[in-house]
Amino acid sequence: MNISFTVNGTVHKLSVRPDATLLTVLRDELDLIGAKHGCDGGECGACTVLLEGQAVSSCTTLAVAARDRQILTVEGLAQNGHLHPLQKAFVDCGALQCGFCGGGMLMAAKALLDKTRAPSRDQVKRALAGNLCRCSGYQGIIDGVLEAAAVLRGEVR
Amino acid sequence: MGSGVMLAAFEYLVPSCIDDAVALRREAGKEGRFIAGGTEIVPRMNRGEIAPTRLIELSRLKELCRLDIDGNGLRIGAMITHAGIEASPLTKGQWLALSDASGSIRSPQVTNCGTVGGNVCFGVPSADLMPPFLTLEANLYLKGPNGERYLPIGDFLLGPYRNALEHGEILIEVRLPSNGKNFGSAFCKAAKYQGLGLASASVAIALVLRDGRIRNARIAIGSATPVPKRVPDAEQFLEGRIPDDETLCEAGRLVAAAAEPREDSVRASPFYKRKVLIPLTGRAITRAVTRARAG
Repeated sequence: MNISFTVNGTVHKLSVRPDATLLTVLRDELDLIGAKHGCDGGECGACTVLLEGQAVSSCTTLAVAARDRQILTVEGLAQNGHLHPLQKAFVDCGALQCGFCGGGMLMAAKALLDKTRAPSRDQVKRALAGNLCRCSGYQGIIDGVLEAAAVLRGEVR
Repeated sequence: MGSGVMLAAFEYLVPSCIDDAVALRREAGKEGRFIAGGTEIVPRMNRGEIAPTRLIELSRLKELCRLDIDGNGLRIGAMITHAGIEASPLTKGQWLALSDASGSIRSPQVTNCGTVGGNVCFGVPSADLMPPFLTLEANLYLKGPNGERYLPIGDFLLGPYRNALEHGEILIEVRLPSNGKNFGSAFCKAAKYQGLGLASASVAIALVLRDGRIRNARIAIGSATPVPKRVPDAEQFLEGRIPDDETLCEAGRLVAAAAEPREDSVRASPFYKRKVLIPLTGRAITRAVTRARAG
């Protein structure tokens, strides 16, 4: 099936099998490997991308269902070689260890901060509830999101 | 791909009217599937458990995308997502049990995609919207090859993962009748993460509070029976009673007695499910009573 969609601002025209997930098309066709292939069942959140600004699991979204829509992956966060405040805060807070969950965590956090300027710690936890991390214990990640929110509000540095 | 392996023919169709969707589904036979949010079907396809050869996407059917109130009550299109239910100002007041249920789904990635229609039609024993729909006496508006019909929600699920849809039939919307004054509804569940996540057991209740006494109580349980169901014994017991501790406890015991958990149930033992239904019932009743007072 011939479709087109926009990924990180670039329009892509593709021919995809209807049962191909958005995740496999991003990784295998477009070489965007920031969304990770974890559980393949919408359980772990490592494949989270934004579809029209909403956090979705790209492993449970068919590529054809994303036709004509805007997709943002973790590769689209940094602008002109500058890390996004979320990425910078993750580094500063030592949020990640192995990093496998990181792309998904960043995208779920981005969806939150796009809507909520000053989230509480509980709101951050809730927004990241669909993303599993098996090494960090989450606290650094939550700290990072709160720090990034403060930076985006112009309150820090 | 492109390695010379023969791939089964696979169609993905996006009809823009219900009649076309019904005809396309009927034509496809067993190998056809409707697809909405994909949160149940796509993982199963990924695991090779199902291999449909025709998927029919429902997103362009505008009748399925409505959420509104008319003179008869609330109408929820099958394509409305859990996030849509939780965020809507229409699912507040008398229908708060719906917000409770959709809001109790843990992951935003699921609530953003998963739909009301999928929750109802897939027939998962833990489907969170089923107990509220049972207590709010939902009517399902269906359209199929033989025309349209209404089916009370209690007649819809025939067993786990089995429903009463005829071949080619589509769930268009869920209709909920309006309720009078002093009416309250609530949904509570036991789950791993502060009440969020897949339910180990759940309870929904709808009731009227008149002169401090419970009237017309309707209780349903989920995740503790093959499919969610009403508990008439507890409903009759509550009639005319004051919601004191003793009443809540006895109602909880009657609800627990109606549970039929599987011996090999995954998320909690049968013993735990029966036990937890007692406080869960009390909590749901208390919440509904508080809301009935406010309404």
